[in-house]
Amino acid sequence: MDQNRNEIREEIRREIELLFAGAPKTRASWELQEELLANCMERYEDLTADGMEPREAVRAVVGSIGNVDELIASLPEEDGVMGFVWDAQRRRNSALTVTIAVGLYILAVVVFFTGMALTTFFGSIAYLIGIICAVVVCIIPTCMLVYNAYRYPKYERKKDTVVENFKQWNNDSAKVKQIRGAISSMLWTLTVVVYMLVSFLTGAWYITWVIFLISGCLESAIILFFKLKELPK
Amino acid sequence: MSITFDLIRGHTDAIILSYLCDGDSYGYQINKDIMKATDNQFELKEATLYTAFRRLEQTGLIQSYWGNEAVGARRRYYTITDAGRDAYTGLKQEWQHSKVILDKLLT
Repeated sequence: MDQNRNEIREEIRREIELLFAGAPKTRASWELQEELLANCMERYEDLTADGMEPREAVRAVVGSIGNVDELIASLPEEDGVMGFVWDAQRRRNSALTVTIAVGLYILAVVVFFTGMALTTFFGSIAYLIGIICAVVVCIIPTCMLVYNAYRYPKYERKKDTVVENFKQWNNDSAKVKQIRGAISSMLWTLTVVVYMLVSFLTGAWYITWVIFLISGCLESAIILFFKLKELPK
Repeated sequence: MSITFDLIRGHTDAIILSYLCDGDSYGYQINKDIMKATDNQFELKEATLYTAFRRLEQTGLIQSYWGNEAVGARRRYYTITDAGRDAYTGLKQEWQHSKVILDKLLT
């Protein structure tokens, strides 16, 4: 029974493929045929359940499809450019997030200089506290930017063309770049903090600079990681 | 009969929107509903139905999503958007208007 059904299914599929022989070989076209097949199968089931002969039912089902010329013509054409699909509200939100983030970065700089100015009264500890506070302040905008990068609408492919493929790839890699930038800025700020902390606490200035080399290696490792992820599967 | 068919076919969009106002549906289901409502007197050709679906989807009046049927082919369901509801109200009013005029002309 089930095997018989599969055969009928394949037969109807072939009939549909014949009807769509002149249609563009796009995803939209393929989805349309898939949709048609599902509905045809259901119609077939109903007809045979009502006692129609399988042969006759297949003919009736295929006949009920009708003239597909107009349908094929309504399928999206291959070329044509579709821009980013995102509304003004989202754009405003994104701009607001970036603005606040930049403001917080500036605040961090102010905190840093305040700490430096206060060293005259409280000694080098004020300098240290200033740096730590500045870095803590930096964490917030960095997180905001990373989050924003994720919220940035993914480029949705409207048509199956090379141009569209390229645009999607371009969009994806721009996003990766943005995230990578955020990670790298976070890494280097942290490096400075660790360097300062360790140096002030141990006084081993002659060796602590090694931290920068370690961070350099770390960054290369992160970039490599992203590169590997970007490779086509 | 063929005049009736053409006349009704000219309102395919409105008919589809009308059914989707009551809830999400898919191609064959809508056709079945049409047949049931008209006592098998009227049925849309598959091609006409899907051309209308594409047109409505491209103008943003309906949206589609694939169902997750465990067995058999996957159905593609359609759902009406707010713009679609507005359009339906407009189309219905237009039809009422045409009906009044036709009734006056065909006496």
